[in-house]
Amino acid sequence: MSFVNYQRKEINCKIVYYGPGLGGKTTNIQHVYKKTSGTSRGQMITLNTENERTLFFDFLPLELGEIRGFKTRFHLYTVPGQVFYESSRKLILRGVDGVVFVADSQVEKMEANQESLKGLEQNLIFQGHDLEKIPLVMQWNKRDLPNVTAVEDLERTLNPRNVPSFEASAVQGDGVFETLKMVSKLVLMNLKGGLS
Amino acid sequence: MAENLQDAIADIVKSLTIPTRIEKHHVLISNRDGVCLYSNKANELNISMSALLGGVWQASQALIELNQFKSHNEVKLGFDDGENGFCMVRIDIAKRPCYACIVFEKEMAPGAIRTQLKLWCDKIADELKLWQPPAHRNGYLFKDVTDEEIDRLFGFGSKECLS
Ligand SMILES: Nc1nc2c(ncn2[C@@H]2O[C@H](COP(=O)(O)OP(=O)(O)OP(=O)(O)O)[C@@H](O)[C@H]2O)c(=O)[nH]1
Ligand SMILES: [Mg+2]
Repeated sequence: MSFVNYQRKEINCKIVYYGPGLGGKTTNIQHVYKKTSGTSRGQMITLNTENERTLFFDFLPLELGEIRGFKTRFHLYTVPGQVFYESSRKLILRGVDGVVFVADSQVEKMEANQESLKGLEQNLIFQGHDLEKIPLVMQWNKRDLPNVTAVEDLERTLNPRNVPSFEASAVQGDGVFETLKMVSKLVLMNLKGGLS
Repeated sequence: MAENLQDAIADIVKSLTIPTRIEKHHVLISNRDGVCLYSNKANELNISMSALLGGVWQASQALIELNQFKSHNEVKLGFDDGENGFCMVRIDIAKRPCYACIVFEKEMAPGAIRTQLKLWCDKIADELKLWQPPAHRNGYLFKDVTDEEIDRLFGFGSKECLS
């Protein structure tokens, strides 16, 4: 859950990168880490398997600038995509304020994308979220590869709700900040509590 | 009492004497989502450490629940080699689960500091028994957020962030 401190004028929000294994979630936040300066990012935490797959989560705290006098801090998490880490994914989704779904555009990954998206929806419902309301952004990743599904097909299959979506090549950094900025915007606009 | 939990805890901690035995080590309190609520050391690692505390505790809890374990005693969590490590206790502050952690180094009696940590946390929790989260505010904090505001928010470091 977002954490707004009105006296100190601080906002803390939690954004989770979700999606199938090897889709590029960790690569997204690694790129953010690389491109941000030392003062705006904290220590990145990576809990990996031996072969560099996410075991529990990656965590990157980002200190952004101010918005209308509120100092803004985003906590970026990735979940482990491999199917058998379901219970870890459930834990990491707790208290989430916004989700980036990182889909793998490769043709043969369509089923894995659908499976993962279904899991995301179930987990969010289980935690009492309204799927219509939770800030969600889709990222069509790995557009640099030759064998990719057409964007229209990805939209049709994975994005019936028509949430904002971006093409990306996270290894090259393309689309990473566009995606993050959009989910940040949606999360900030969704923060409850007027200023009166 | 302060309206937000971080300030409320800071005020209570100032009014209680923190046992010297635990004071010399790094003490952190985080909420269930891993947001740092208190630290006795200004340390840039506090944020990442708090995220790990939330994760460590919840993973342990999930592990135990898979085994249908039900405890009626105080649960504690620790990782140490007898003199270096950390231990965690749960405290409920204003009915919300929070975790207190002490990271210790060259400590001859880890068991004793864990007990002291627990006692100290119980005092904090007790002082905050009557603390209430601020009354629910209606509406949204920001009605609309423009792309320019988001660009400014991300206006750090690289050109790419500004694009
Ligand atoms: N060609 C290409 N490769 C990518 C892209 N994004 C990520 N990769 C590669 O895909 C592999 C997996 O990326 P990760 O970021 O570790 O994937 P993940 O989603 O975190 O995977 P899990 O942690 O197992 O869930 C790595 O070898 C990346 O370099 C991309 O846009 N294009
Ligand atoms: Mg990963």
